[in-house]
Amino acid sequence: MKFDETLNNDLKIIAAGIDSFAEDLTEQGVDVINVDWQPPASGNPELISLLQKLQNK
Amino acid sequence: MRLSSNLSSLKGVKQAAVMMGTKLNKEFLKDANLISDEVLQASPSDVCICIEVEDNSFVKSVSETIDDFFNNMHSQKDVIRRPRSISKAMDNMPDANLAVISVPGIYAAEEAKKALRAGLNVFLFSDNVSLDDELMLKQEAEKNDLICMGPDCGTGIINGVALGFANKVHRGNIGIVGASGTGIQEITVLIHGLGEGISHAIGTGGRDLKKPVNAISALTALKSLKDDEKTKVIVFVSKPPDKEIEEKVLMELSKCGKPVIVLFLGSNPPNELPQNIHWAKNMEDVAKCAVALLKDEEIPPYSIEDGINKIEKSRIKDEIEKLDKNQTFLRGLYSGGTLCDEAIFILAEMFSEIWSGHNVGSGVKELENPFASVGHSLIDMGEDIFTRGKPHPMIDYGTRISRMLDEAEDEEVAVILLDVVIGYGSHPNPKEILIPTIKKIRESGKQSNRYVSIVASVCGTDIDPQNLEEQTKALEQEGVLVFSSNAKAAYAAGLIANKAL
Repeated sequence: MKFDETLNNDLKIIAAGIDSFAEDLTEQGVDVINVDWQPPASGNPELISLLQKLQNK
Repeated sequence: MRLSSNLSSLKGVKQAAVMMGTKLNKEFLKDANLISDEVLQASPSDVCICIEVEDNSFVKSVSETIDDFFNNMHSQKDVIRRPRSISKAMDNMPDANLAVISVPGIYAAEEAKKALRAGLNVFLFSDNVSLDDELMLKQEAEKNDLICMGPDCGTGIINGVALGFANKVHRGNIGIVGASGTGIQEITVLIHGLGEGISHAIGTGGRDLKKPVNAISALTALKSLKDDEKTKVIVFVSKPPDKEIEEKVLMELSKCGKPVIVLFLGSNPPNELPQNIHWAKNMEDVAKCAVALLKDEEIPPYSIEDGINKIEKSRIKDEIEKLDKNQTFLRGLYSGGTLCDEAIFILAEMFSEIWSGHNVGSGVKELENPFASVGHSLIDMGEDIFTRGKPHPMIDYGTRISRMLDEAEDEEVAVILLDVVIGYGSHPNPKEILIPTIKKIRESGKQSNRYVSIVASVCGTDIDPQNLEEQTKALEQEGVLVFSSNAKAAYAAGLIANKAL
């Protein structure tokens, strides 16, 4: 959704990272999905670089 | 971060860090003397919990805290199965319009890029994202009429929803664009305190007004507030931008058709200002101007001193009388970067020499060692050098209270100046940590017959989760001079150090 429109609509949020940020959003009554985020490719930098190349093709 | 903060506040714990076992994090842990062979062998997807305790008698209680934490987490996970990626989350929420990303910096740009390409606006709290990546993300956002708030964006309020570190404030008609987290927080709480409210407060991240980013997010935000019917007055707050970018931003502000208040902290206005733009001196001035313009009233003349009432002046005088003649120095220990910088600029006009833990420019000297104060020193304890392996000082007060105790032992210190930032994201109950430390300082002072003044501002509102009134009263009961704005607190602390009312 374009940013202009977002300012006039309810926020629907996907959160990835610090859990307390998602918890605070829930406490505010916001529709939020808190991703159970893990580093891609188990954090292996070579695999990550390869994945990025594949995804950018 | 929550576990790290819980552990740091336990009795017997000297320091604690909870981090993924990445190469970078292992370096942080090594620097902090929290490394072990086991941690060295951890993989990047392992969680490393590293704790230094005073002695082995505390190991059992610490282990129980960790077990309880994970047991609670697992019981929640049994009920809610969470998707493992932003794209999988979008399967469950196809009409999502915003991603709030706070993953480690090395992964953040890629996650933000995926979110933007999926059509989401992004609030990017993560730092340690390269400038090239920031430019890439913001260009990606711009071409799709989206916004990338950040990286290193700490604060936002969109449609009344607090994002990251932000305060609960009334909704209203003043919109803010800020390349500054605690700048936005201080201004929003002051506006709330004056009885008005916020339409939206849009953070851009600290580097948006520098080359090569060239204010991409700030200009997107400005355009949106210009077109937003709820926004009647616009505030623009930042550290001083690059000169060309300042001119570009002022040009856009002059065309927005609404009254504007600009604060480029520590910067003087250009020779000519467009008619709709008012140049503010500090964040308190911003709030007062914004409210006056909203009500279509004349902007009142502003001085910090005029805002300090008779009772406060009397208390400042009492503090001065308790000091020895060799107690002359001020030590500012801040969790908010912009709050620290504002205090520095105010105090630079009251002291002939002032030191900072980071490069501020404008004649302020930079400490050779940020861990050792010299003269009048103001330290932003949210800087990377203090937060390696640890949560931000707004969440975890451990590093700051340790420094408070050190500064209070310095016989030449007259006054310690603090910011206490409450609201979403911040420590759930700062007084729980601060009051015991202040009591220790008072006790030590009685034994050495030396009093240290403590001055604070509490950045928060009456509807914030931590209860502003309780936090303020608890501090005041321990003899802390508490002010409603950072500007007043800094000025009062300067008067105390100078022993000049």
